[in-house]
Amino acid sequence: MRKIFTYCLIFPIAVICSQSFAQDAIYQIDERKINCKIKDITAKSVKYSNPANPGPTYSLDKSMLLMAFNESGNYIVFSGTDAASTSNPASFLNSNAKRDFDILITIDNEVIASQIDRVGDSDISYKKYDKAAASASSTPVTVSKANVLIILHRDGRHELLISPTDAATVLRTLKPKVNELLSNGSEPASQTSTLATTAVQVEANNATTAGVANFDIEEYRNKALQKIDEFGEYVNNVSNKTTPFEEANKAIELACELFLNKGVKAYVEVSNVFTKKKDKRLVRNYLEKLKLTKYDKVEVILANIEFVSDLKKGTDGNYYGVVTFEQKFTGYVDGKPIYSDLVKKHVTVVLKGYTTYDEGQAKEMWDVFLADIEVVETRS
Amino acid sequence: MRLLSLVVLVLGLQPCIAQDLLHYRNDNFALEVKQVDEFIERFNNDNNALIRKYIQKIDPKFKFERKQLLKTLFNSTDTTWNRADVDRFIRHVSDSSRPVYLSFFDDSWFAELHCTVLYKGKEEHMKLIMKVQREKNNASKWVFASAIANFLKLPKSADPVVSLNPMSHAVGFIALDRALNDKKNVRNYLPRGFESNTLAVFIQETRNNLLTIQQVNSITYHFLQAEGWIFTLENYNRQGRNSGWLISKLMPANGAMKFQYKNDILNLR
Repeated sequence: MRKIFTYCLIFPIAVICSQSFAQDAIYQIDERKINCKIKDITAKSVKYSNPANPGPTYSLDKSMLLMAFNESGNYIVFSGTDAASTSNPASFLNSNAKRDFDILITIDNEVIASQIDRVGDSDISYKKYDKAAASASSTPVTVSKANVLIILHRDGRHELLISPTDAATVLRTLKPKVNELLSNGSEPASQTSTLATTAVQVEANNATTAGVANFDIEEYRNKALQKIDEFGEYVNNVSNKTTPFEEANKAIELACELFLNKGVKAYVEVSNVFTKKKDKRLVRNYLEKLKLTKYDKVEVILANIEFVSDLKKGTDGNYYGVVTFEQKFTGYVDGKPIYSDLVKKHVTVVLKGYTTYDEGQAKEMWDVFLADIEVVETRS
Repeated sequence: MRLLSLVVLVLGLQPCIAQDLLHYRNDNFALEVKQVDEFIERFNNDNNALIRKYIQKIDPKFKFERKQLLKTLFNSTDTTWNRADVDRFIRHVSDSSRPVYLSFFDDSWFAELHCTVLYKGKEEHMKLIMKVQREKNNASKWVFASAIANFLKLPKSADPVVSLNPMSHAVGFIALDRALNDKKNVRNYLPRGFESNTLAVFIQETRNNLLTIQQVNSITYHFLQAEGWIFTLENYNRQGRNSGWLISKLMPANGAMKFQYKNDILNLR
């Protein structure tokens, strides 16, 4: 009862009901459905044609897809690396065996082989199907439609009573159980795992760089480190006693220029490995405060090792990465070191594309900006 | 000798040799798993992994084995590891015929944020569960998946017997306002088993400026990506080579157990 209730919370009020005819279908991550004929599934993409106009072949990146059904009702879920949750694409494409039973997937995680008599507005009437005996029980069972998530009809149609996103999660989780029933269409687990994981690797690699014109990872990396160095120099200037006040202000302005949108929303958070309290400021405020901390001389030694993460595309079209490195900071007064610490910095680096026009020709360019920074003091 | 020391260094078993501060830190820093992304690249034994570059720069002949690398990704200070499970997991993941790789874009991993918040002027602690959501054009973003906080749940009723009496309908439910004002016994007016959606309450209270995040104290990542296993990742921010983002817990889990884990531990209902 509790489970039923929880599911009612997950899939509330307006239950999305999607019923399809027996033909191939692809669900995209924005939950749009494409009725089609799937021609091939590669490590990277799904190729398909439009049954109404079978000439051209279209292709969609797998990272943009939730799942696909074929005309026999078998399915493949694209998200996830869990071997139990995915299928061998070849097996999926070749499985066209018809079943003589329907499959009901319920909110109690049950995968029921059945012969459905009636799908009503509020309930479903069926007879349990014994696969070994290849016969249905004579006793009809009625289940509330609210307790059923997905119906895989024997004629290959599928009916989603929840959103496609939720359905993909359920179908992936319950794939081993479904495979037991579709034993003709299942494949050895080892094959599944290898193919699934290979595909994910390719997906991940592509997702980091796709769509960036004139983009070079090494150039990005160098530019990112250069901007971080520049920021470090401005920090030195700001916190140095010998820097005239106006020059320090100018350094703050120039430092903010290094940040995305001039740093108006960029945070610098300072945490300490030994305490739980974190101090977070907008970058300009952080620099203004630094201006008040005066040393005759500051020395910043950058460790050689740095970790530059892969870039990931944000919904604003910019690419985001984080650079981690260590710095040793020493502040001197009267020639003597009065403060020293070793800090680990995580700096968000944003790759932003823009268009310039050269003699009327549009040229795609990109630049690197800094964003949120986390500074972890590791040792005094 | 250098090669031997590197091997031991990779395995994270040898106490550090005193060197100048920065050099000593360089070794630690190179071996520390500095970001979750670095954990993923080491877990996957990525050819471009920083650790490979660092060690092969010193010793070009050094041969990496995924099993060795995986061993270094466990928190070695925990003495309660089930060795058999760890060995089985490493064998499973590094099985060359069906290797397991992690993907940032997979939807079977979650970040559990341990947060300090200010709720109605009082400092409270709560957990937020985040997940990566893929978007159009290869974009992605982190989104709130659930919230876990006792103070956002409905409290137990103070008086179990007060309720809307069974003949309320006959008087046009005249006492509805009395029921809704009875804040100590809200549960009595709701169906048995009712649980409010904590994430919805969290968002509502944030929008009403009643709840503000003070800081994220720590993060635990839950990986449900590997078939048959669940493991968690925590940041061990300490000196030494076995530091940074390391596996803190490992448990065998079939599909049903993962489903249950999402429900019970991550509150993903």
